[in-house]
Amino acid sequence: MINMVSVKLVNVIKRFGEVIAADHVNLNIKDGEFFTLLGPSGCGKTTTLRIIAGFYHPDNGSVFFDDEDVTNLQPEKRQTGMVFQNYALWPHMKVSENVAYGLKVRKISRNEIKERVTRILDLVQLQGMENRTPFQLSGGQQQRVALARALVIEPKVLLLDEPLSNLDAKLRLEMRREIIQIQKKLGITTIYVTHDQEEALSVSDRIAIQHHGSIQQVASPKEIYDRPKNAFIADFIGQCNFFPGTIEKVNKYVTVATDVEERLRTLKYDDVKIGDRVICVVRPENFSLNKPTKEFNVVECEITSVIFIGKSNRIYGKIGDMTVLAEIPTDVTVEPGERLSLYASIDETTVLPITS
Amino acid sequence: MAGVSLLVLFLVRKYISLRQYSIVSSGISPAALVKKIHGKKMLVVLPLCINIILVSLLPHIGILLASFAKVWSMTYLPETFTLEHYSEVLFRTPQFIQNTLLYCSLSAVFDIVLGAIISYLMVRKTFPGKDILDGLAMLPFAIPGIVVGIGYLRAFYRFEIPGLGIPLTATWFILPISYMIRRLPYTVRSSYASLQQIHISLEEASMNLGANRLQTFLRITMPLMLTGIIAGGILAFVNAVVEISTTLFLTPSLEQASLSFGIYQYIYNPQGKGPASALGVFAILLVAISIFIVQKILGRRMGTIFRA
Repeated sequence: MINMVSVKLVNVIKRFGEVIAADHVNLNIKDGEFFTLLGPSGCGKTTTLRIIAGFYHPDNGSVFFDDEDVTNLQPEKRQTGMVFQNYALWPHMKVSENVAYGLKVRKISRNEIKERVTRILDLVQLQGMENRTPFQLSGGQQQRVALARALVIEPKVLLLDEPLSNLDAKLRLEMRREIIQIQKKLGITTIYVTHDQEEALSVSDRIAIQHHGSIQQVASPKEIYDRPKNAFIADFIGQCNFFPGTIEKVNKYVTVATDVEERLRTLKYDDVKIGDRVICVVRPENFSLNKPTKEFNVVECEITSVIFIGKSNRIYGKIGDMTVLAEIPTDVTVEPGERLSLYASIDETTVLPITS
Repeated sequence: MAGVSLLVLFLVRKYISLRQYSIVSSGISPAALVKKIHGKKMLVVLPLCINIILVSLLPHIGILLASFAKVWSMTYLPETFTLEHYSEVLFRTPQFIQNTLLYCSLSAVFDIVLGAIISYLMVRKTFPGKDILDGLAMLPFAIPGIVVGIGYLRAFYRFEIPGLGIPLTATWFILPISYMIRRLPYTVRSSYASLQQIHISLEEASMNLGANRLQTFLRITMPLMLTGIIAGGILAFVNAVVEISTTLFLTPSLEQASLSFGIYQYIYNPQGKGPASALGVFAILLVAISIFIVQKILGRRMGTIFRA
């Protein structure tokens, strides 16, 4: 019933005065995919979404829905369904009128409108709310109305602009799960914009990370987390320890002499040669106090502070003048001032090129 | 003179537009911020307020009494009362009230339409000459009515209405036109204020769902602006009712005169003080009812209309 399309952006550029909000953006979003644009605020992700919706015309480049070039198509002709960050529900209309709007504009018969509105309100679990006004609804319910209003027109693409950012933490998790369920049920191509990396990792089929307007990496959540392509991504997705250094040896592993005079070995997965300046990355949760069974790196640090965060202890240590962060189970007692050996297996140590 | 007021107007606009306005709820209910006055303070505050209100209401009371007075001189209160002044203005010269209602409603309706369009362009669009349009729409605030009156007379006394062959200044059309221009800033400002409170995403959502710009304006923007627009229109109406300076210059004949011109005519007639007062009562009633309606519509947002 819902027509899925693939969305393609080719070399899209958008400038606002001096600021470049979309910098040579190339994206290939498959039909039926849950695709997320992730990045810090001001990175251009909303601009990219609005270019797809047709609210901005790109300075350069094209937008395709399947094989159709929609670059010059007005937003009202594009058949996208967008959920806005502030929901943008019309306060002078009831819930049912809000949802029916897109169908009325399409001159669909009154009976069919009624039937489709009922069906979609069932889908988002808002039965019986037809006659409320938006002001009488909670944040989560308003969110559902906005979603229903976008879905009822059976759009080619569903566009979600930070839809959960106005909800409290618990509701956010609930709505997140619900959005995924609805998306999977309808199989609709979905483009989701968020600055919340955890949200992006948990909902997406694939993620595109945008920074200063340009796309840094497009990959599955797991790949983005485990194999970030550069230091910005590594730092943005989860927390990281960065060890700058120089490549000393390349054989089965890459051995890096770090500036804090520790040696770290990593798996070879990029074009690197001896003498290159690189950054080694280890995530705090990948450090452990026990020697792993696999081949491993070890760094020695002096504990400066221990912070209890519930599920684990967060340990800050010093190696030379560098601060290292490790998350270890709470059943191990450690005190500031102690010396500690932190182990990380080699396949959980990443080497990244230094980008200027 | 107009130059000075224009300059001040622009300075105020520049200064105020530097600030961002948004509604922030502090968690304290407005009622909690109101302090009750007790005891001795009341003894000072109450008489003061009553005196100020009484003094400002004295003319109104005077007019009300005069409109019913048969003979009133050298005494505190009229000696005999009558309704003949009302029958005079209602039945012998009914055109004053009728004309006023017609002219002022016409000008208010046009003001509403123009104000909605101009403010929409101003808030939502960028185009060359936007500042000039903004200035022009506010200009009537800065020009005294007497200047507008003389100006219109000079400008249009040779301008013949196409098809009729008579000059514009010889017809009553000139009156609603001048009222409309004089009071345009009210509707522009009130629409501007309510439009600023409508988030652009409300319009974008409509277009996203398949409505074109016109449908979006008619179904989303207009209904949401409506209270502000209507309130501005009523204010324009009220101010046109009591407009005297342009009326005096532009009224073509007694038959086509409005209420304020009627008062002016009666007051210079030795027997006219009663009917003039009766007309005055009608003017006061019209204004009072209109302001009451505006206040009902706008409530506490009354002030937003006058924000430049």
